This record gives sequence, structure tokens and C-alpha cells, in this order.
Amino acid sequence: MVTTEVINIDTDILIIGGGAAGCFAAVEAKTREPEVRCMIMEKAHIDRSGCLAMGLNSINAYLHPGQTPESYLDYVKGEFMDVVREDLVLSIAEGLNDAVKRVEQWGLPIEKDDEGRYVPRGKRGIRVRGERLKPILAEAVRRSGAEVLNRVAATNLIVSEGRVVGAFGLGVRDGRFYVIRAKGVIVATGGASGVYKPANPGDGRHLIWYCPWNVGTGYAIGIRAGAEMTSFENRFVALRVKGVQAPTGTLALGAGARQVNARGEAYLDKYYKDHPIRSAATYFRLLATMLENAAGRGPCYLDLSHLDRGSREERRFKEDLLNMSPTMALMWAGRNGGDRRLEIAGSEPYVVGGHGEAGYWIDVSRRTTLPGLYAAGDVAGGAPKKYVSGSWVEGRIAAGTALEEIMGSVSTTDIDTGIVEAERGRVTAPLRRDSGVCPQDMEERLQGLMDEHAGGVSARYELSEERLLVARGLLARLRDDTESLRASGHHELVSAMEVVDRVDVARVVVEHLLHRKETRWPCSQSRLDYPERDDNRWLKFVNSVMDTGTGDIRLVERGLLE
Amino acid sequence: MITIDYDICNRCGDAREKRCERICPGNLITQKDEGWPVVRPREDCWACTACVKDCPVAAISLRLPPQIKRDAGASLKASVRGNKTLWTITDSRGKTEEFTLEAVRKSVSQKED
Repeated sequence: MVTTEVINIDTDILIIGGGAAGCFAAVEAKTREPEVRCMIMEKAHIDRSGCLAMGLNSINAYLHPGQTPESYLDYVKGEFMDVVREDLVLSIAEGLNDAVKRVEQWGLPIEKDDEGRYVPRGKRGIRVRGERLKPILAEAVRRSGAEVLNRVAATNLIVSEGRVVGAFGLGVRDGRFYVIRAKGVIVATGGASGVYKPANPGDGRHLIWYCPWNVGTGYAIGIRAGAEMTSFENRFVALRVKGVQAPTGTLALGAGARQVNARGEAYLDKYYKDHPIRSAATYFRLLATMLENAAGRGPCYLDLSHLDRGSREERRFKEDLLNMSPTMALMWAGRNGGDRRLEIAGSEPYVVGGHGEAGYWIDVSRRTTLPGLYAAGDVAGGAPKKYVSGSWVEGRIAAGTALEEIMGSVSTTDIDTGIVEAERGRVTAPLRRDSGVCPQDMEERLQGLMDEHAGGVSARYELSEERLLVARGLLARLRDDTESLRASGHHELVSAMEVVDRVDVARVVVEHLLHRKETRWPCSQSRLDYPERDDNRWLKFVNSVMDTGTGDIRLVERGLLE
Repeated sequence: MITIDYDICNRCGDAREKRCERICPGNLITQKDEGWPVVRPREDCWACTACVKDCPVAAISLRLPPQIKRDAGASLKASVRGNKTLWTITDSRGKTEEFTLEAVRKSVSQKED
């Protein structure tokens, strides 16, 4: 079974990924310029794809009365130890409320007080009933007139004379090979899960926080095309309810849970008094939990014993779970009589630009370093804590920039048939091999080596030069071995492309981790050999570019205000 | 992970693409003989409940794998009721609890009708 059919499509703006950022980009482009052709390339079906498939119960980035873009920036800087792109964070903060208003108009139910103001959830959040948020966004895209190409996964960018002029895609059901030419390309695929070994074994291996089908393709296609990436050493490790990896904010912020150790002590206060990172709440809550475990006072819990059984508060809590974490609702279902505590632990590390800040190095207009390519959402770096509403803002900005640039002299470029055939050969090769490695085995090899040598769950997220060098060596061999991937059908062929993408992302992660010789973000980036934070040397970004000829990764340091 | 109850499933009549097959974000549901939907390796499921909600006859339920919860008997179902979603949680003793939650603002969903 070898794919042969080639589909050629021309469009003006191609958006890779129909999630939060991609949907907003499409609506923005079609609203501003209804005549412009705009197409979303989507790996799944846009109604329920990616991070938002489960729904959301909270929008974490919103400016309540009295808050300003500047106060939001101060918060993000504090949380990320000052290494953030101020221009990007400010541009996001300025657009948050307008984006939320728009989605409310599209149909998202948002909790309001008697005066019609959104009810705060935590300091910067609002409570939403977002079970159907993804279908609501998809409907807005359909109304806008943008085209949606469902079930096509990007395999590489098309680059001609230094400019991105489209993308190649693989039909995930039918194995068709797509050649999509565009005047401008917006990458909005989301970040990467599955680079590290999952915390759960067996049937639970995909009960992870981040969408298992966000495999880092958006990063990988940029890396392979020589785009500059930033902050891949800023891995995102989440403090989650053990087993189901459900967000803890719903419990702590939404239901008032206390974070306690095995002895029932509220341990955050103890560390809070004098710990140097106490102002960075997200890292601090996870680090304190790791320290309690290391001191023999684990496991740690979120204690909900104040929620009376059958009370209005408990019912509200369950509603929040259904809107975002159905597995948590099941976890809670059997607990009618007994334990009202939920064990918490760190997740496997992810690579994301929405909670963390790993991604494309972009300018404030969301241009990447490759002409013709723009980035928004989780795949865009330097602006952490943008979450879903910040991704909406970035999608709008990226679409505006792409529109301005293509309305000028840019025309569709003829694509050399040689590069089309080369890519088609690469993508379909696993179907032609009679023997070789299956994608699942290679994925487990990758996840195992990253877990052990690049600071996964079993290594308690800790890093050292020696182990990272081992990881580098194993990854080089693994990358060679991707040449022997074999697939027995289209579904497995997609898995083969996914593991290649994950390996390319992992290589960049390891090079970034090796380069930053300090400990800036606990658990996210904890160097055993450089345990201190060093502001004199490392108040800067670690960036990288892959040499498209040799495959070598070159590290670059960039100042905070470059 | 999800379970399809084949006593309830009607294969979406003779639809070429089944609803669960269409909506799964991981492309994990496919068809076997006579159009019955089947789940590819169940450990690939993210437990997002997209298929659970979209099944027009509520034939699909969500359970936690036994590796995660000893008491894996609890199950979850959901179905679309206009602008609301009806959820049913059944605990391991068979006791059920229902929730009917607004999922799309009413004014907007009426406009669309």
C-alpha cells in the first residue's frame, strides 16, 4: 500500500492547526478581507481537535477592573523570573478582554455577577461553561467563510528562495499527499506532548494533561526549515491530580482546596516565609511538593474535606470538573463517604508556549525568522501564561500581519517538482519498508531516554551535563533510526511522522537544557550541577537554529530587550 | 477509556462515516465488518469524551482504567440537549447523579435555530 495521489491546492493564507489561535486567525483574516482565500489545515476534525477537545471551565488570562496590561506583565515577569518578552506579553494583555468578549458573543457561557460583570476566579481568571468551546470556535470559522481542510497533518513547510510559500500535508485517513501553496503561512499547531515518558503506565498512558495528538509538529517543521526557536529549556511541568492529570486550579482556586502533606500540614506556608521563588506561585507550588516528598512527608494532597457532601459547593465543583476534566469527575464519583483528599504530583514535562514559553522566536507582529511564516498560540515562544485567551489574541495579530504582507506584491510561487517528490518520498517511505522499527517502539525509546537522562518524572526533573550528553548521543542514534521506520497503514504512517517530529523537538530541548548553565525555573529547568540562579550571566534567552544542511543545532543567546 | 455498548449502538444507520469516528480528535475510532465502530488500541484514548457527547443514542461511556482507579466501575455518559449538555455519572455501586449544564448561551443558540 503506497500512497500515490497528490492533491494540489492554492490559497492566500494557510493556517496550520485549527485550535484556539488558528480559529481566531481565520476569523480575523476573513473579517478584515472577505475576498482573501484562507484555509485551515487541521489534523483531526475542527469541531473537537487539540487542547480544547475536552472543554474549559476557566479562562485564566483576563484583566479585571483595576488591572492593566502593565500589571499583567509584572505578574508574568515575576512568575518567569524576568526572562519573558515584554513586548509580546504586553501585546497579548492589551487584547485579552476583547477576545473574550468576542467568544462570549459567539456563544460561550461566562459566569457574571448581578451587575453583569464577569465573576473573578482567582486573580486573573473567569469561570466559564466551556464544554462546547471548541464547537463554538469551529462554528465561528465556518460562518467566516474560511475553508477547513480536516484530517490533513502538516509534514513540512515548503520553502522557496528563503521564503515559506506553503506546506506539505498527509491525509491521515487516506494517505493522500497534499501540496498547498500559499502567500503567507500561519503556524498554530500547539506544542508537544509525548516527548517524555508518561507518568501513568499501561492503559493510562494517554491520560496526560496536554493533548496527546499535539506532538510538536509545528515546532518540528520550523526547526527543519531553519527557523529560530527560543526557550526550549523552559519545559512545562504541571502540578496535577495524580492518575488523571487534571488541573489543580479547579480544586484550589475554584473550590478552595488546601494543599497538604501526608501529615495534614499546609506546607506551602512553611516554605513561603523565606523561599527565594515564593513570588512565582506556579513553580513554587510544584517545588514545595517535590521538597515535601524528598523529605519523607509525601504523598501530598489537595484537601477538599471542607466541601460538604451533597452541598451546593460540591455540586458546583462537580460542574466545573465536567466542563473540563471528565476523568476527574469519575475519580471523584466513588468518593462519597471516605477520603476527600486528592493526591497530587508533577506531570511528565511538556513543551509549550502557552503555559510555558518554548516556541518560535517572533517579533511583536508574530513574524517568525522565516519570511512568509507567522506563529501564534502554544507554538509561539517568549510569552508564557497566555493560555487560551492569549492564543486568541496572537491568532488575530498574526492574521493581521500576514494580511498586510500578502496584500502587497506577494504572488503564489511555483514549486520545484524536485522538492515535492523528495518530500513525498520521505513521507511515504515507511509504507514501503518490509522490515524496520514500528513507530510505537520508537516513541517508547524516545520517551524512556528523555525520562531518564533529560529530567523526566523518574529523574524528579533533575538535570546534569553528563546525563544530557548521554541523551544527546542517544537522540542522534534515534534520529538515524527514523530512517528505518515502518508503517502498515495510514494511521501508523501518521504515528511514524509524529515520532520523527517528537525526536526533532527532543533534540532541541536537550541542546537548550545543556546550554543554560544555571537553575532558573525549578523542576522546569533544574540543573544539579548549576543549582543557583545566576542573573549576572543568564538574564537572557537561549535560542537555537538548526542548520538545514548538516542538521547541527547552533545555540544563540539573545538579550531581554533585543 | 471508552466503551461502546453494541446493544445500544445503531451504527448511525447507514452513514458512511459514524459520528464517533468523525469526532475523535485522535482518529482512534474506525469501522470493522458491517459498519460497527471499534476503538483502536484503547490505551491511546485521551478520555476527552468528544465521542461520548456526540453519540446520538448515548451508546458510549467513559471509564477510568483499573491502573488508575481500583474501583474502576464508575462511568460517565453525556448527551447534547439543544444548548445544554446532560451528564450522568454512575458510581461503582450503580448510584447515578445527573447534571444539565448550559453549554452554549441560549440567545446565540436560538439565533442559529
